[in-house]
Amino acid sequence: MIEVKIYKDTPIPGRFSQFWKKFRKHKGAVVGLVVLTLIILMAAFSPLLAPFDPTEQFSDYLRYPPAWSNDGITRHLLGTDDLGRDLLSRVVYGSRLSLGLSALVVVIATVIGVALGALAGLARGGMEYFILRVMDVILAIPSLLLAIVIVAIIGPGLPNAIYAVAIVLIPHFVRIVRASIKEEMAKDYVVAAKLDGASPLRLFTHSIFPNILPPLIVQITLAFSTALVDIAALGFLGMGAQPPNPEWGTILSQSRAFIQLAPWTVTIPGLAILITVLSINLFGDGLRDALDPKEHP
Amino acid sequence: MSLLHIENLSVEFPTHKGYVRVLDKVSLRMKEAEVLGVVGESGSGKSMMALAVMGLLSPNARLTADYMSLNNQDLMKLSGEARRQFVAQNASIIFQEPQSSLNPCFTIGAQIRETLKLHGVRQRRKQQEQAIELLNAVGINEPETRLRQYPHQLSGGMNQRVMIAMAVAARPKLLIADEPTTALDVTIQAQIIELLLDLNRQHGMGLMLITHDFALLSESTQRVCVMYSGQIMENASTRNILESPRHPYSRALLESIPHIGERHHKGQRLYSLKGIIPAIDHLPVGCRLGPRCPRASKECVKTPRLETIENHGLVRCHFPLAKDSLAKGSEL
Amino acid sequence: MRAPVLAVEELTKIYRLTDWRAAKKEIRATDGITFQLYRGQTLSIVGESGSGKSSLAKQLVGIEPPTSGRILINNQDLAKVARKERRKAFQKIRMVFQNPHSSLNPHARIGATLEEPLKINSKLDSKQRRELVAEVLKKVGLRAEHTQRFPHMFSGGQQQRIAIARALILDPEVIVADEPLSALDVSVQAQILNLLMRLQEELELSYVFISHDLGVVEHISDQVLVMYRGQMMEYGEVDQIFDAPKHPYTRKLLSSTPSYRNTVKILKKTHTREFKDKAAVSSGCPFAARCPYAKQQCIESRPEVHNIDGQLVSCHWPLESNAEG
Repeated sequence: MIEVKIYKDTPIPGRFSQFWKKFRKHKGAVVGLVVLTLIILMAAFSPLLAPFDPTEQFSDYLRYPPAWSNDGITRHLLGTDDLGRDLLSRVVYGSRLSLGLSALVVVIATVIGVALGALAGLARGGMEYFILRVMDVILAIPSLLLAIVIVAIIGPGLPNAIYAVAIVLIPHFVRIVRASIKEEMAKDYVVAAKLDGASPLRLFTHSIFPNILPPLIVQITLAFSTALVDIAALGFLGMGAQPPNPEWGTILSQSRAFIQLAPWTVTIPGLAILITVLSINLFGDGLRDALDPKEHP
Repeated sequence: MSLLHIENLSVEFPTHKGYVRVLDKVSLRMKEAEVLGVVGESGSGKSMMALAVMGLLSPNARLTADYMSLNNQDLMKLSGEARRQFVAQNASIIFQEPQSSLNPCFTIGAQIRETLKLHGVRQRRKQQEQAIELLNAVGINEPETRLRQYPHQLSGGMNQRVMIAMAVAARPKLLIADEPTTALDVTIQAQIIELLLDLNRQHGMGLMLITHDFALLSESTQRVCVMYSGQIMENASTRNILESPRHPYSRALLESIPHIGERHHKGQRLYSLKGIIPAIDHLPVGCRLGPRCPRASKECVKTPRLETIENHGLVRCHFPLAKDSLAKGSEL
Repeated sequence: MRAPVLAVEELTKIYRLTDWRAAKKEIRATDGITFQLYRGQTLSIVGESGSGKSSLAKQLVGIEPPTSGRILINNQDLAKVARKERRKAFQKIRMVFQNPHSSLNPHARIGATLEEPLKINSKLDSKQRRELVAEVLKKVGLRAEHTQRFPHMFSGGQQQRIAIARALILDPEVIVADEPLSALDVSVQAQILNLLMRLQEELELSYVFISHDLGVVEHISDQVLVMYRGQMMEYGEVDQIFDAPKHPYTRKLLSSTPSYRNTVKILKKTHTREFKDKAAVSSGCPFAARCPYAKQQCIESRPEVHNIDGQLVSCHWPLESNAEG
């Protein structure tokens, strides 16, 4: 007897490989992804990559320019700051703080935002109305200004800066999740899943969530770059990370006074922020194109 | 003298695999005041042909034709603006979805007046008079009230009447109706077709009725053109095609739709073509119906030409069906 | 007499709309619909847009609860079933949607979509589920290998086959098909219609077939119910309805439907009186405004249902079989 083989079709690429095929075509996005990966690796292996401790002061080498200029020395590749700290080490260790804090902020904002968004999308009436209006109020205030106000109220310092930026990011998640859920809920396949007897929870996890994932992923990358910039800005204004923490925004603000004397101390952390945000945005653009449902044949 | 004369009209669109031919050497003629039916499924190129005639193709499309004339004016010799103006004066088109063809932000009246303005009626009072006249002509009662209303306040059938009113405002010689009733209920469908035929009879306006439903044509057209995958498969008088289709595809279309008045015994199967319509960038070799055709043989990998069959019309098939094969109910 | 598989009694659904002026409006999507469907038979619901036929379908499968009336499957009242049993009861009546493209989860493989009802409603293990899925796919003319694919890799006709497979997988007795052909190409419609008829014979299914296409309805039905504005106009055997319509509305529908078999028939000059759907419930016959035979009584009182040889007609003046339209 011939055994009936079930599932013997040539393997059909899953969602991820389909996505990857499209993503690869987007040159800028691939560059963004590569750079971002390098930066993340840099953050992960800072102790190995950085030549010195970020707070170690070389009192004989104050404000040394980078190695490629005439007065530079190779021991301090990117030069030193006004206290004689090695700038390369500070920037490398700073990536830990900047990326790590942004990631933490995005995780907090995503979890709370998706929960509230799902609540608003699935519930009707008072609850939905209440959530949406609160989010509208938050959205009505410019994001950085709001973060500053929140920090001003609850006091400066890293933990408070994290809360502030997370609160600023939440409304975007709520809106996008709620809108996507509303859109999906109206579609026949959700009704069909309901008729299959799926419980509301199963409906959300099995039918709705996979379909709102693409816009959510795109939103996460956007939020990540916003978080990075906002945290740096708060650090710069002295309301986030406090010196001697080598957070990029904080390094910037401390070096600001010496912009004439030692321009590299400002330029290099500034470039670090620029490159990171740029690569995240490029990556996000590629994601959006590759995940766009309209592109599906 | 012919109203519309097309010789070897082809339309190609660029894709990442190069140009894809969505309309392949279509030739047809319409006499003045003739009613021509064009039948085909989605992707058959029937709408593309209408758009090509109207000059409404998207700019990246490549149009080629040996000859194309409207109302005895060679369109290929006119260029750009002149061609657009000439076509606007001599032909109009209406589409399937009246709701999306009308602008929801303006009243019916504003939109009709705008059309009239384009056709050279400048005085506002005259515009109003003509608008009322037009609405009367397409069978809308209380035209004064309707002119002040917005598209969403009218029913689908009513909106299609408004579309027709706007299309015939310039007294065109040719009206192309692309699936004009597909989105409407049957009782309304009958009224719209009746209206189109009335306009044809009263004003001698040529009518090209594009549809996927043979039954709609049986009562209204003199000639029918059957299209499949961008080609004309059969072009003959309505009576000939309905009584004795010679192309297997025409017959399959006729037999695959059940029509009222046919008695069926319970469980009787409909005739159906196997498979699906081929993707236009992935056409079979030779006859485009080939893989789906029950009569296909070796010969069919050669591309058949559109050839004349005596006392019938034009058929694109190596093995056309015998006369009366439908009536006799013989196997396809 | 045999007991019907599905019996619907006085099914009524009222939507209450409140607009910003707080004026309350009532829309009766279905109004006192009653019918019986027997095993292995097809009942077609015919009507134009706004006739309430889709609302009826939604109530039958449990998407929307009816305002009043009863739905009985094998003499079991669906509204009275205990909560725990509810899911089980609704397994007997399943739905096929109009648009196959939107009724399949675009991000789930076909296999997952088809296994989903089994995961929720049965205790089968994964191997048994897969076998059942393969079996049902074969029944609808697809292959077991197709389970690994995503919906967008199929043509519209194949997607509708998958949707039918999903309806079949819980071994239902009644399938409610809401315009299952209208999103498909003409040459594919016949394939799906043939499939539905074959499945009906093989599995003794009963269909509630909702359609506006009278040709298809005449081909597939045993019984036909004509609806207008949520109310039953006429209900009878397919031959009665098509050969001897007794309601002016049915006759109007039939005469409006083009048919190529009798080429001499000329469309009757129809009244161009068209009324934008007025939500207000009139006390009279809902068709009165468009009816060529309407009399004063039709506007004032709602007609009773006449039973003429088993054919139910809701009209004050049912037409004689041979009356001219």
